[in-house]
Amino acid sequence: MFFNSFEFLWLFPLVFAAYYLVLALCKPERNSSRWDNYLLIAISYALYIKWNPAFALLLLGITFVTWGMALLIERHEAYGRKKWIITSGVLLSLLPLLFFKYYHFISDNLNVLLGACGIDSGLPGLNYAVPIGISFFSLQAVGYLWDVYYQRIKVEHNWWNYMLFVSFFPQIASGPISKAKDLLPQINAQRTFSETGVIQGCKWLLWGMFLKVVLADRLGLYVDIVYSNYDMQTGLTCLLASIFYSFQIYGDFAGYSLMAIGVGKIMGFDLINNFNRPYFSKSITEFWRRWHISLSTWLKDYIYIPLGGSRCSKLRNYWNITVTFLVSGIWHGANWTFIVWGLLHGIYQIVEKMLGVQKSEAKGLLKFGRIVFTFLLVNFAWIFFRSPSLSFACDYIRKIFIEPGSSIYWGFSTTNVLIIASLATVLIKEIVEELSSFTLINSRYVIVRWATYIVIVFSLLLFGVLDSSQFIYASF
Amino acid sequence: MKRLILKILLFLLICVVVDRGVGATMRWLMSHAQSGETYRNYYMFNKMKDDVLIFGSSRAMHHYNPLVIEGRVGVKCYNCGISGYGIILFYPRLMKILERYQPKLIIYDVYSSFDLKPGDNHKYLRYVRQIEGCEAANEVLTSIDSTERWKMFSKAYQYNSQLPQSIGDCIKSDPDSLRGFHPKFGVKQDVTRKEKDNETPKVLKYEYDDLKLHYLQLLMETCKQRNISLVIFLSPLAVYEDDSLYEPVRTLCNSNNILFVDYERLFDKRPEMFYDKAHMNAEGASTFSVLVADTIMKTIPSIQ
Repeated sequence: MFFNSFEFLWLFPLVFAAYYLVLALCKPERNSSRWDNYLLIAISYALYIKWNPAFALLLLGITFVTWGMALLIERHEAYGRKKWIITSGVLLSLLPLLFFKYYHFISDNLNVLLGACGIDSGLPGLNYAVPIGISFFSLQAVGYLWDVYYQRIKVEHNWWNYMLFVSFFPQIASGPISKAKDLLPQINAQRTFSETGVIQGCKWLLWGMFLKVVLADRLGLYVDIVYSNYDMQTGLTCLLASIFYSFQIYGDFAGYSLMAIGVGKIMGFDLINNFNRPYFSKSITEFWRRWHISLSTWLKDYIYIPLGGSRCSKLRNYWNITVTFLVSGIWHGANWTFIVWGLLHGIYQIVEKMLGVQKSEAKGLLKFGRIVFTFLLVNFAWIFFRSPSLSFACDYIRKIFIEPGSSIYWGFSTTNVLIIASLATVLIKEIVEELSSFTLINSRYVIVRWATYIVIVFSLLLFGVLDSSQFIYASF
Repeated sequence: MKRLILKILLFLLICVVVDRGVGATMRWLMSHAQSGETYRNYYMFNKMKDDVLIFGSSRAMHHYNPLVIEGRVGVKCYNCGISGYGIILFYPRLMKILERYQPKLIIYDVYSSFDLKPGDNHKYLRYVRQIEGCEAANEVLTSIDSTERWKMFSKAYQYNSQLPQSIGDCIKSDPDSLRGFHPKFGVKQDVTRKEKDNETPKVLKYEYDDLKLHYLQLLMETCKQRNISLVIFLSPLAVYEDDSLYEPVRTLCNSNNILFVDYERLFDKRPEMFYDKAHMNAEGASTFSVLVADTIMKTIPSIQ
């Protein structure tokens, strides 16, 4: 069930009502059983089973392995034994991810490599669909296991609580990737109904929906046309489409995250904020503190720091950055384009470290210039991210730099008018919020707040692309 | 909790009121449009009385000049073609038109992408949603997405993605002097065929959209029942499609005794007739329209 589907619109109020009914009926003083958590587990699994019943077993398997391994780590004192358990636990939990997501890519590349050496390996391909959210819940479960190993958190003995931690439905498809120290205590705690929380959650849900269906999906219409016929377009058009894609992926993923956080809030959970106006970053280092924050935090805690982080020689630090971004690229998808995208971000950060840019302050025009320059670097890397192959990406970039042309594919059409309108709305809102604390949706005047809600609802109905298109990050 | 429920109910009530207001505004805009697609839509369902109607995608819109057909056949003609749409829109459109009057002839320009191949049919629903009070339109909507019947409760949703165009079409005045025909001028894309272009790989079995074929069948049945002549045309293409691709249309035409005219390769070695791979330019369209008119006069002499 995607948040932008019609199914969500009618199903979620029922889920919400059932959840709060259970909360009201099963007060802790009357009943020690956590029926609210059982209900959330049932809903989470029911929704996952609806996608694919077999893959729900996979989710259950990963949950069981990480939960069991964490208990084993707790029981054993010996360092060597613990290390053995964590290694096998992490490998077992990541095995399905490696198999479903990377087997085809590895076998394809091996076939090509061995073929070039004159060996016919004939490794078969894999035509299974990748289980939805596997990259997200696998990382969340593995993160828990590592936290237990490093003794950052206590082991969760309650199987049901842990089951909910891995499968919590608002975040299972595309994150945010929660940390056990943040989410498990909330699952354990007695939740109560909070009107303010529900209203705040609805606001996030509404704005997230706007980002997705009004901004991202509308931009997607233009981007898809240009990318599917880029050889017929001028370089300037390709450049414009690449800029639009930067905003499309932001609207898509930030929109999804906001909806997930909103749904979580409505149910009484505080999920990690995943985006903080990333295109206002003055450096790539800052960009990764503002973009997909939960993944950046995961990579920092479980890849970058264990490798030695920045408390080592400069060369070793550069190596650590490269490996971290290589993992980030591979995590995003089994394609060389994602690997190049990840490496590009790694190189950007290394160059910034060499020049000391990420630490220097900037004001006024310099600040503006750095924001624009950072955006252009990020935008350049997105071209690889959006392209189906490296050769496609190189051709596309060649088109922009070598054959810019003098015209842009543009005209008066509904799509183009709505692209400008939605982009302007989001940009103005984000600029105002970046520079001040003023927000219409949280105005202290009821009439302004309600008028804003109404305008957003009718923007969705009148200008949204309402065919429940999938979220880009749901395929990762 | 009680306070929240009251707030939600009040919010929903305001939404319903605003929604009805938006619906009424949109209807007003539609009926006052002076140009563009909004005007054409309104004209088709409220004013049109032409004897010959041309249905189909952008290929219909750019290829059939009603003035040429009118001049040669001697009956009023209107081009209802619209870019990116096919039978999913034109079947309910015909049914709505038939509620008001009955044309004598329908020319349907078939194109594989919009009339045969499978794909996400949601993209064809935008204008179907605006056909109000028509059973066939409701049937099409629910056959593609069963939730549409609920979504259509919202009037704003009914006119989704329509507001900027409707406002523009109200401000701009264009008398539609070419009767729905939109000629393309010049040559945008070099369509000179190279040898390798002719070596189209043969596909053993094409996949077809059963729903589109179903509505093509319904269109043919309706025309037969109402005694409306129907001719299915395959207009010239610069880059050919495989001959066998249109086999289901040929079969449907044969079983319903409908004329299928294949002009795909009419301008085989004349790239100057094309604007791009899929569309003829004004010169190509004029020459082709003459041929269409002559074909009609020859095969359906009673039309005159």
